[in-house]
Amino acid sequence: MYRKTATTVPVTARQQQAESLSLSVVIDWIKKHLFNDILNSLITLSIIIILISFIPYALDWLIISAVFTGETRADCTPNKACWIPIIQYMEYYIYGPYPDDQKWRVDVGYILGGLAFPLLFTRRIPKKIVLTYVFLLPVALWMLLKGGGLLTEMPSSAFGGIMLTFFLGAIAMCLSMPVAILLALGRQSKLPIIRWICVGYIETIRAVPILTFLIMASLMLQIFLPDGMEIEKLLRVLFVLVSVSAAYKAEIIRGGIQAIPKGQAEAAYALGAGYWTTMVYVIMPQALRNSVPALITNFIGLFKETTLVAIVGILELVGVVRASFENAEWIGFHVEGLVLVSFFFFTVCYSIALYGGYLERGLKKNKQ
Amino acid sequence: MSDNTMISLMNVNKWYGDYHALRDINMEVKSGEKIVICGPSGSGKSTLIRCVNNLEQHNEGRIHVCGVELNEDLKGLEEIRQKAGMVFQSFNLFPHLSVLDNCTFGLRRALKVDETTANKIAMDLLARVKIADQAKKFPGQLSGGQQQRVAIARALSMSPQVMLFDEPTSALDPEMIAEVLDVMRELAKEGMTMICVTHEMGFAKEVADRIIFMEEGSIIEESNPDVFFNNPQTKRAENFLQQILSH
Repeated sequence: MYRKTATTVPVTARQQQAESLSLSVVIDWIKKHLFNDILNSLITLSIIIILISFIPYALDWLIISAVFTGETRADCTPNKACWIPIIQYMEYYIYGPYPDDQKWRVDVGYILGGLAFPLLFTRRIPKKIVLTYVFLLPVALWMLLKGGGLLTEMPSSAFGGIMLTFFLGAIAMCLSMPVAILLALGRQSKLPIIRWICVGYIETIRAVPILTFLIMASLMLQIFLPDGMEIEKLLRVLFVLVSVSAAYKAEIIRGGIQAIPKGQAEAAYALGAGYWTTMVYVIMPQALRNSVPALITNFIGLFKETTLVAIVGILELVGVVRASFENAEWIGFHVEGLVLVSFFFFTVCYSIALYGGYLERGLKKNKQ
Repeated sequence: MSDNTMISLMNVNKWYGDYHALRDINMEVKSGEKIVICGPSGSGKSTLIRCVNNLEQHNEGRIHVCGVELNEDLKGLEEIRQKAGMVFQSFNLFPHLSVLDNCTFGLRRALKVDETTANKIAMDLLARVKIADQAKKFPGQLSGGQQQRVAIARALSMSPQVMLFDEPTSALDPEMIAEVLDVMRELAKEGMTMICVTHEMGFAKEVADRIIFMEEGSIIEESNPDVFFNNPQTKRAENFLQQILSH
């Protein structure tokens, strides 16, 4: 709330607000918003009671009585979290079964992917450079991690853990966007064949569960291909992730396009602009702005959907965590593993959500 | 067709489904002429003007613009459209671009003029419509009258040979109509060929060489302003004038 108003009030007013944010203001706020009448006070109190009775136990289990150091199962306290296996397996979670002498490639991959974030968050760098970076990222990641050419080629089985989740997520997010834009435009095309193909594609993909496609891609595809021809398993899974999320994104973007008045395209055409010029410079910038909230939700969904590839035997983060707790020494400690997985996904997905909020605030400034 | 004919329509018909929107339209506009098209709403005025730069396609008849016939297998439609500047009732400025970028859009994206040159041309035009000081603002920050003036500057940026105005003042608050009409008067004085769909009869009287009155998709009357306002040839034009001038 405070943040929202801050962008619209002049600097001096903002300073005053900041200065007066003292204890009395906080107390006033609490009185006004949490204890303004009997019902509200009761609700506030009961929530406080619930939190008080719950949080200390959770903190105790998670941290205070939890065990962080030790070697074996015997070092753990019963009924408290035991982080020993997590710490022992951390490197396996981060790099998967990637060979030790090649781990620098994964590190470079993380850095390349991580760089995308500050790049997306600054306005100083021209948009063209940012877009080029984002579109080249999947290619770079594939060449770096998969290898071939200069680098040793890695089999799909070398991929795993956070590194694989990140690899699948980053590539699928970057590639699904352009595909979705083309699908959305195709769906509105004046040429019937293109329109039918796009509608058919989108409706089919939307109507079938993604798990089905993943299993089909890993088991059935081989049957249809000629003998001796084999497509990398990772590539097949990526293909499914990109195709499926592109269909959903296409529908989101179509909604964004339809919200734009017809006069926008007409004005561009009247200036002598062609179809593609009009789409790229007039329609898409506006359509994508309209679609930001829904697209961000889709990106978050896509990132979490990468966990589904575990079903076809590819061990992304959830997969490696489960695998590590099949070790007889640590059976029964999988709850800690799930806490770790939740923490990882929350961090990444909440970052994406923050980026969405940032985008929306930036766009609001230009709009009335 | 004489040499200085810029636009000609011959027996043009258009249907929207069963609805006959334009009926046997014949019309000719010479270079430098100012035409005002008026008539009740739904009479096909906008459809007519939109057919001239192919935002709508006619079903029958022939339309020539600057010596080129508009038809389905026309190559280089973009170039025809560059010769005819269009100003819309609802301005249709690009809300995500600044005023300056709106005016350089056609130059940079359609004509591939470099940014510096395009900016210079656009700034000159913005000065001409007296709004150069707002160049960095976004359309949403301007008043309706200012937006429409920007839209005129944007259309002029392509150095069109003819300007088409589709009810340019109908979406404006009354106090903003004058500033837009002033700009249009200036343009007329400079000798621009203009076709205006408008209800501004004062403007029509003053600027138009010819007035075209339409009803139910047909041209009912075509005469010079003197005759049209003082001695309309048809009963329907007379009724229309009475209604529009009485308030």
